[in-house]
Amino acid sequence: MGHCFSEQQELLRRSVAEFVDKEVVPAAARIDEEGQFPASLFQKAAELGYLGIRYPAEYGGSEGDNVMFTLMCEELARGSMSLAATVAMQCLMGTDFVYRFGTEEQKRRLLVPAIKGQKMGVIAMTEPDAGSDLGAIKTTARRDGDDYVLNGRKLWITNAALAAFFTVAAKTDPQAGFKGIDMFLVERETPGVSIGRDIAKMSVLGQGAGELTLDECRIPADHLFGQEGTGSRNLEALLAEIRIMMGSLSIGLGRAALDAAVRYSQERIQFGRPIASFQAVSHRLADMATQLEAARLMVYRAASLLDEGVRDMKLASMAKLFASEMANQVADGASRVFASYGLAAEYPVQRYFRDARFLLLGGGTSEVLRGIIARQMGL
Amino acid sequence: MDFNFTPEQELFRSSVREFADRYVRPRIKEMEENEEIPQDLLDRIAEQGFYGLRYAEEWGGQGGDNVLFAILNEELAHCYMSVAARVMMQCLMGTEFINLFGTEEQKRDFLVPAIKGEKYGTMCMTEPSGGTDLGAMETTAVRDGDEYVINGQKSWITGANAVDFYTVAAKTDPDAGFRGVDLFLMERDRPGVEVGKKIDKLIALASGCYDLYFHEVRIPADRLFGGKEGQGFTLLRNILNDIRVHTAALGLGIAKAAYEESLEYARQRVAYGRPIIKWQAIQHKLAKMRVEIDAAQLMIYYAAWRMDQGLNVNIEAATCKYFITEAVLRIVDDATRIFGAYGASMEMNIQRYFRDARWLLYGAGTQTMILNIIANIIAAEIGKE
Repeated sequence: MGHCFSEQQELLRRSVAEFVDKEVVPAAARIDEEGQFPASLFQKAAELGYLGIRYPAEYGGSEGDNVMFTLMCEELARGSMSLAATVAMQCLMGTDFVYRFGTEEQKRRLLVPAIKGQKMGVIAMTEPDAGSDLGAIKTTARRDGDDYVLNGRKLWITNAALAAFFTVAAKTDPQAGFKGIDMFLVERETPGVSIGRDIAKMSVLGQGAGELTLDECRIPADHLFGQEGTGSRNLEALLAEIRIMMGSLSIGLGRAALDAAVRYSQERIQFGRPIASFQAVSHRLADMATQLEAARLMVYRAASLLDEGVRDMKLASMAKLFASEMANQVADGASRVFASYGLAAEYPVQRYFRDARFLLLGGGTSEVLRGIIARQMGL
Repeated sequence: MDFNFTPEQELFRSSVREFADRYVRPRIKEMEENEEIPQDLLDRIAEQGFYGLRYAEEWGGQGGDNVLFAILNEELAHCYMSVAARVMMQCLMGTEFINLFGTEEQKRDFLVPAIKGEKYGTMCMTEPSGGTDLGAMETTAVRDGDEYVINGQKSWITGANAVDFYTVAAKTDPDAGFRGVDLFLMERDRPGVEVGKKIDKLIALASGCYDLYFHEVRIPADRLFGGKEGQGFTLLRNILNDIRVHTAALGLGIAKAAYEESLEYARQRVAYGRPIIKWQAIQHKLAKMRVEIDAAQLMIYYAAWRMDQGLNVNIEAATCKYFITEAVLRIVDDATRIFGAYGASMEMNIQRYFRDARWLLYGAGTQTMILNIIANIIAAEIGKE
């Protein structure tokens, strides 16, 4: 089965690539150095229809398919992981529950402006003592009349400082593990919501990771997404897409790192010849390119199956596992080709190397993914 | 064969550990943020006698051997790589050529004060045109009467802004590749010496590296090490194994720090109802780290011991450096993963071990070069058969 992108998909890829080359690549180093959210690029992405790529025209979306979403994420990540990860959050986990389970009023008030880039939506799952093990979260949601009251503390929440609304994982059944989780819409101005400072981190510096505290936070019952007791199942379904998306970010970063290393190896002269002429370098680059190609095939296969209505959790998990590990190996390899320049701020390689670590976390660590794949294999 | 450290060596190790914990560790955050090692800390290190650890008592040194020096480097790196790198430069590369090849006057004027921490030195070899390929360097040294005139540019020079003297590699014969290289002793305050921009880098943040320019810098002819031209590489060969073994010791220190902290974290962090150290995948990561640390330790200290016995150490220095470099990178990768998202948090040490470990990839030679060296030694071995 040959894999060709459709004309429409290729067109999208080319136009995103052009945007990335013209506007994102030149800004990427500064975004990283200043540690500032790339607001104007995010706005441009909105104008180009990227934020609504998964959503129908009725809400201002551009009605693309999953492969197109994947292509877009890959190209953006090639330019700047900070921008790409924020766009991906906005397109997917930050808004998807509103789209699938929100009321029309919520969609009008939140999804439509989100697609326009006017309101940022993020997901809030992780807590100080619960990352991989979401079943261990302590945030609770108790029914009280026509409301739910939420209590808890979330950490490592992407762009918490900027978000207008949060999709919050909270337990309606605190005695249960993962299955006790339901998903709720929490808007920033709700009394009881407080946002803490961002965590200083080593990677994806243009994207903040902050704290969200809910203290007797009262929300209307229609802010529960779906039926009570179905949250964990709905979240599981989303996780397959999150994993494919992380795979696409991984491919973008891998490509950027590989391209940089290939170019440098052809320019850098030592011992009177380009270092690419030494097998130690060229064979390393060949391995990197091979890994990247394999990752690409897995990610796009998972994305196109999704377009055919097949949600293959095993493949999505494999794609994320393989692609994120590949991105880290490729970033390491690129860093070696650049020798000491691989660690100089002047070159992008050190940024690829740092940002690649982020890919090992979202959507599940490699250890968690191996466990999932093993279970999918019946082990 | 007794592979144990002696009680004296263990005592030395604890004393360095205590010193580092007391005087270096509390200031790591400040040093990372300011990207500088405070002078008073460098002075305190001098007071401990560390700078002269390797040097003869005749010059104010401690008369210590390579095993002790490796212990010093390992323990300092275990605490904070930036300090370890600066100290190693002062103890070894920045001063050794004066020790081996300097005149009595030069030893008095440079080595003795360096050992006391009154003067600091650094080595200047790398250029934009070549790190691995030193034969490609473009800095020249032209004889003019009873002086040499140095012109050129160096890059990645540790502490260039903060030292008093340099050991500079420059070509007396620009057409002769690496055979045209010579080594010179030069004060920083000579007219024409210009410290350039600081290189903004990811690692060893408090050990600044700089560009360095020489504009018609004049030095007395007796500042040529070795007495005659064309000696540079011959002289350098005296130090290359030392640099490899002791850089390897730095790597071992970082590896152990990453292992210890991830072990401790794994004991505390709970996921899926138990401390994550109870999960086999995590246990095996720690077990693999331990294998590599134990192997690296044996290789490094064996090489150091051989140097102290006056035995040839060409292969051992190269293999131990190669091995610990790959090992420490694997170790900090797995250690960082054990910390999950906290692996990227600037509040934790692990991100610093992760970054600083990358030094091993080019300090004392890239992995590619080291493999070339090992392959050449193998070729020489089979050539003899």
